[in-house]
Amino acid sequence: MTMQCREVRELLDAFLGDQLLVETTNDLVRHLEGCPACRTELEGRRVLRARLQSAFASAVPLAPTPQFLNGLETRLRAHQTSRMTRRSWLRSWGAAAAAIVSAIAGGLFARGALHRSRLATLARSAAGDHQNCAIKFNLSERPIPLEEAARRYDPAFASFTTLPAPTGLPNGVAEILERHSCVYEGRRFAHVVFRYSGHIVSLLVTEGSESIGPSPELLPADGALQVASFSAGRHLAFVVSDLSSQDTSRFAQAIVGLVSRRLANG
Amino acid sequence: MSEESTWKAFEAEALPHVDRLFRLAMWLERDRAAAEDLVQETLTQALQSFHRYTPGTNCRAWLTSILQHLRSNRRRAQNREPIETGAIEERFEQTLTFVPPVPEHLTDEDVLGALRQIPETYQEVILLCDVQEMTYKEIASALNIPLGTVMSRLHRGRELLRVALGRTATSTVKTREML
Repeated sequence: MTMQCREVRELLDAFLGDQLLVETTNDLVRHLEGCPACRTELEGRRVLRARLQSAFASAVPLAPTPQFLNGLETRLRAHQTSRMTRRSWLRSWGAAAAAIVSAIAGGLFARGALHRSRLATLARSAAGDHQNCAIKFNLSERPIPLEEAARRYDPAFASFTTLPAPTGLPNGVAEILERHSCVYEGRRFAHVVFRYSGHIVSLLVTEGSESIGPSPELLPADGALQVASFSAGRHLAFVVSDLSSQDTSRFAQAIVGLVSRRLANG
Repeated sequence: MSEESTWKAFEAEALPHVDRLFRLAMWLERDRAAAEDLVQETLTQALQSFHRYTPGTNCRAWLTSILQHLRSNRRRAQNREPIETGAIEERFEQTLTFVPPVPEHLTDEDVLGALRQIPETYQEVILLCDVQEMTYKEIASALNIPLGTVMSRLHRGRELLRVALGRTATSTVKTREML
């Protein structure tokens, strides 16, 4: 059956969008072969469609900014990591966590004789917390939200529920992946995990009176992990990462003010 | 699939469509911060549900569909549901008696200016079809409307666009003649 011009024109846009059945397309093409007016109409619609696409693709006011595009991938990757289950995302840290024990403990043992034993014990607890809570799930208590830990154990932990990621870092933006409180060997920690420059960085904070200075100090490490420590009020903080020693130190320098201000009254 | 392989697949399939997705969001929202927020949330949800995406299918349509659902939810939450088009369609049915031919010399500004002149409901469906290159079925799913409504809106929207373009062309010619 021969198509009429009116019917063809109702189908031309669907034809351009390749949305017609093969049989309908064949009928339409047959009509077009013998109808110059409908061919002109088709060409007009083709031009309009192409112009719409090109106008949309090139309109400067509609374009995303380079800043948005640059940050988008970082934010998506950080979000993806934060959504991984505790077990899976920390499974990947397994090797690193094992090294943390020796990195922190080894570094702290190299410090002054007076308090190194106590600090080493503390560092082992911090690293053990990190390893056991995150990787092995063999803590005597499950990790709990910081809010709950603040209510029940240490009010100062409340300040870590809103601790922002440090800014002004030389290699881009740091993203917060996880916050919780956990216990290891009888010691409770606030634990905030960041991703920065493609690396995982841990901030571990616990109560303690051991004499560490208020400025970040890079501890000697014998593995791939770097540890910087500082004190804030009656708390001690450790920054642990597999960044370079310089970048770990910079990260600690960037976050020390944020932590200290929040713990000043603690 | 591991985290890294998921990311690699997402990076290869979804991220190339960010520019078009953003342009659509920017057009619809008319506000850069809102568009950035919408696109960010769209991609975050897409990454979370990437296991549901079938490789080799139309990823742009899939992303656009997520964006439309998010936008619709937001508008509902803000009591900004689109105006019911039944009355509008009826009105145009009565008034649209002549569809002018597509003007010969069209500029990008002419086309975008004319598109802005027609009701948002029609802009939306034309963009999804002609710019995002979604099928009628995909558009129906994205907008949560029947297939027949997609087709009637497209038909009506394109007629309205032609009328608006005709007005633009006429005013341009008059301006040129005055100069």
